[in-house]
Amino acid sequence: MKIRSILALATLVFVLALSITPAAADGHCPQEGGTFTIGVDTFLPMDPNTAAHDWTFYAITNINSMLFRIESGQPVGDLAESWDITDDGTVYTWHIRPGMMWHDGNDVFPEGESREVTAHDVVYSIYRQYDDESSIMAADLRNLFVSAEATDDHTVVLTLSGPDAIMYDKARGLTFTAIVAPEAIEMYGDDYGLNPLGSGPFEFVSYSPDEEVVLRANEDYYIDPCLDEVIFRVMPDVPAAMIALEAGDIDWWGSVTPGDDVGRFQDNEDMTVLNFGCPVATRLYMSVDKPPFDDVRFRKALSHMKDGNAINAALRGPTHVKGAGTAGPGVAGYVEGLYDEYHSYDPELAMSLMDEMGIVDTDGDGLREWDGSNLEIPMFAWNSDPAPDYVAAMVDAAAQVGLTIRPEIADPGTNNARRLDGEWGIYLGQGWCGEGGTNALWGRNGWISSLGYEDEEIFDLLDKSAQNLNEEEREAQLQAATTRVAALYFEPAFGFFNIFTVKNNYVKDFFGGEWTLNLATDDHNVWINEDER
Amino acid sequence: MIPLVFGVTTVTFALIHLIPGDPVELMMSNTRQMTQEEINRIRDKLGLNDPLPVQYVRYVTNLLKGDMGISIRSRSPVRYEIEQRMPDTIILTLSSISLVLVFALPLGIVSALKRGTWIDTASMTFALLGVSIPQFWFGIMLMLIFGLHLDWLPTVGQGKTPIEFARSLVLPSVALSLSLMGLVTRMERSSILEVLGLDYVRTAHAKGLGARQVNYRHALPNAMIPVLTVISAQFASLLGGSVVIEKVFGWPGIGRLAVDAIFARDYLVVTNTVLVFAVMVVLVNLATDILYSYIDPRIRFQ
Repeated sequence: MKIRSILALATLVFVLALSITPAAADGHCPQEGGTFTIGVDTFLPMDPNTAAHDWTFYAITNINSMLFRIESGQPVGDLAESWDITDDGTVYTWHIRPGMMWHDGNDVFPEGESREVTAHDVVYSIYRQYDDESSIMAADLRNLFVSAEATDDHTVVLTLSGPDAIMYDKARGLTFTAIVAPEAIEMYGDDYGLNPLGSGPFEFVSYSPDEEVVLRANEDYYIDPCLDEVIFRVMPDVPAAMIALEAGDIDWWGSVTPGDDVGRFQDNEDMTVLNFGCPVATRLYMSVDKPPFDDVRFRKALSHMKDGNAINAALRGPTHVKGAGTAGPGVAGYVEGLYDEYHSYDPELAMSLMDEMGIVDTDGDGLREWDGSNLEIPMFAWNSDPAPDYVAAMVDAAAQVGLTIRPEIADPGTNNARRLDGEWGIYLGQGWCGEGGTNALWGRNGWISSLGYEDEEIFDLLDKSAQNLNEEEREAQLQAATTRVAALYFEPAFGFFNIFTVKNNYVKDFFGGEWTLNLATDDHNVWINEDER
Repeated sequence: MIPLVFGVTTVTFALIHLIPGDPVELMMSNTRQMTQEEINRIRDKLGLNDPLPVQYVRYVTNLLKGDMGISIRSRSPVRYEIEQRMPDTIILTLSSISLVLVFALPLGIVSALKRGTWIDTASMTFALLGVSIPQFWFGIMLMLIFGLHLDWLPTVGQGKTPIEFARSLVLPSVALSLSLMGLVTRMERSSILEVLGLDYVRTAHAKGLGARQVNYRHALPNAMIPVLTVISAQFASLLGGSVVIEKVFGWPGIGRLAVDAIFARDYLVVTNTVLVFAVMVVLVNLATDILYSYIDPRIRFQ
C-alpha cells in the first residue's frame, strides 16, 4: 500500500514537472493563441467593490490591474512596479508602472483613444472602496486607513494609523483592491460590474449571467498574453462539470473538486490535480456561553468522544489532511501536533469527564442525563454533502458514550440564522483557512461571536499579530492564539481537507488560482498546447 | 391581472422573509472570510435592517415605477437578471415542446390505432420509461454517451453560431422533454382510445367513411383537448421548472435564477421571478383557451 502511494506521488510529481515546462516568462509563447475555458460553479457581476465570490475575482484579477499580485504566497508587482514601506509600517509608497493603458475599443475609450493609468486612478479606486460602506474592503485595512494620496502621476502614498501585517493576505488586505477607471464608473454607475473596464492582461468582451464571461487578450498590456481568449463557463452541477472536463469542453475546473473525483483524476494521465494551497478545516462549534458547553470538561468530552481523524479521512478521501486549528500545514499559524494533543480519540476519557460533571445514566436506559432528563443535543448542519455524513458519524460516536445527538439539518441560510440567534446546540463548521480566516473566525466580532466565543487573550494575540511586521514574532503570536483556542474551547476538530482543482494537461505554465488568478505575469504566461488537445 | 400582481408579490414577499437566513451572511461569510462587523455594515447599507413593512412599501413603490430593485447577491438590477435569462428559458421550453409534438403525439396516435401490437407495447414501454427516469440522471447519461464517449455534441454551454447553438440545444432539450414525452404519449393513446369508442365515431363508420377519415378528421381533434390541456400545463411549468436540466447543462434559465435566489435569500429576485412565473402561467392559460376554440368550435360558442 505504501509503495503504491509512493508510486502515485512520484507519478503526480512527474506529471506536474511536465506541465510546468517551458515557461514563457520572457514574453515568448511556445504556442500563441487559443481559448482557455475555465469551469466555475458560480459567477457574479465583476465590480471589485461588491463581488462576493472568489471565482468572480478570477475574472476581475485579469481584467483589472492590482497594485500587486500574490504568486507562490509572495507579493509581486503588477500596476505598482515597486513599493517602499517605512520602518514603522505605516506609510506605503507605490511606484506606478509607466505606460499602462486602460482597455480601449469600448464605449468609454474608443479604439486608440485610451489613456495611461495614473496614480490618481489608484487613489480614486482605493477611496471608492473605502467610502462605500457596503464594499468588501476588509475591516483591518478599513480601520487602519488614514489617507491615500497621489504625489505625482506615478506615485501613490498610502498612510495607515498602524502597521497592517495582513496587507498581503490572499483573502484580505489590499489583494482585492482592483484599480478601476473613473470614466467607466461615471458612465456605468452601479452597472459597472456588468461592463468592467480595467488595464489588466485581458479585456472584458461579454457577460451572460449564469452562462459565461468572455475575455480577450489585451495587446497593450506590458506582457503579451499567450492566450487569445479566456472563457469562464458557469457549471453549477459538479458531476456534469467533471464530464465536461474529461470531454475537453472545459480546460480547467476552477471550483472545488469532490474527493472521489480527485482520486480518479490523479490516476488520469491526461489531467493534473492542482492544490488550492490553503487547507480548510472541518470542526464543531457549540454554545460555549450556555451550560453544559460552558464547562470546559464537556467541550473536552465532545472532542475526545469521536475519532475525528478517521471520520474526516473516510469522508474527504484523498483530500483529507490530519490536523487541527484554523491554519493548516504550510499556512501561517499552523501548530503541529495540535490534533493529537487536544482532539485525539479517547472515549474513555470523554465518559470519565462527563461522569465527573454528573452527566451520568441514572435510570439505566443507557443514556446520560443532565438536569433531570436525558441529555439530547441538537447538531446543526447544512443539507449538502458531506455535512449530513459528519452528523451521522457524530450521532454514532455520541451513542457509544451514552449521549444523544439530534440531527438538525437545514439549508445554509437557516443554519446560519440559528447560529446568529445563538441557538443552543453544536454546529458543524467548514471553511476558513490561513491568517485571514483565523482573524475572521476567532477575532473580535468574529463569525461565531454569537455563540459566545469571546476571549480577550485571543483577541489581543490576534490584534497584535495583525499589526506585527516581524514574521517570526507574528507566527509565534498566531500559533499562541491557535493553541489558546484549542486549549480553551476544545472546538472538536475533524481535520483539514485540501481544495483541489483539475486541469487538462494541454494547459501549460498554469498553477491554478488562489482566490485570485494569474494568467499572465512576469513569471508565468499560460498557453494552450493545441497539438495535445 | 392587478389583483394577481398584488397578491403574488405580497404573499411571496412575506413567505421569503419568513424563511430564516440572512442574505449578506450567506453571500459573504464563507468565501470572503468576513467578520460579523463587516457583515452588519453591509446589511445596514442595503436597507436590510429596516422593518419589513418599510421594505415592502419600498419594493411595491419601485415596482409601480417599473423598477424591480437590485439583487442582493449580484448587486445588479433584478430586471436585468430576468431579462437576460428569459430568452434562454423560452428557447429551451419551446424546443422541448417541439420534440414532444413531433415525437410523442404521433407515437400516442400510432399506439392507439395499433392497440395490442408490438408497436403499442414498445411505445408504452418508452412512455413508462419517460415518466420514470429522473431527469438529472438522464441528462448526465446523455452527456456521458453523446458528449464524452461519442463526442458528437457539446456537454455544456451555448454555441455562438446558429449551428453550434442548435447543437448545444439538443441534449438539454431531449433531457427536458423525456418525461413530458412519456406523459403525452400515454395521454394521447388513452384519449384516442376513449374517443374511438364513442357513438359518433361508430356512426361515422356506419356512414361508410374510411378509417383514415374517421380517425384523423373526427376522432383526433376531440382526443386532442385533454392532451392540449396537459401540454399547456406542462409548458407553464417548464418555463419555471426546468431547474435540474438548467443546472446539469449549465443552461442559464429563470428557474435556476429563482432557486439560487431562494437559497441565497435574495428577496427581490425571488419575489419578482415568482411574479413573472405567475404572469406567464396566466398568459399560457389564455393562449390555451384560444387554441381550444380552434380545435373544437363548440367551445367558442359556449
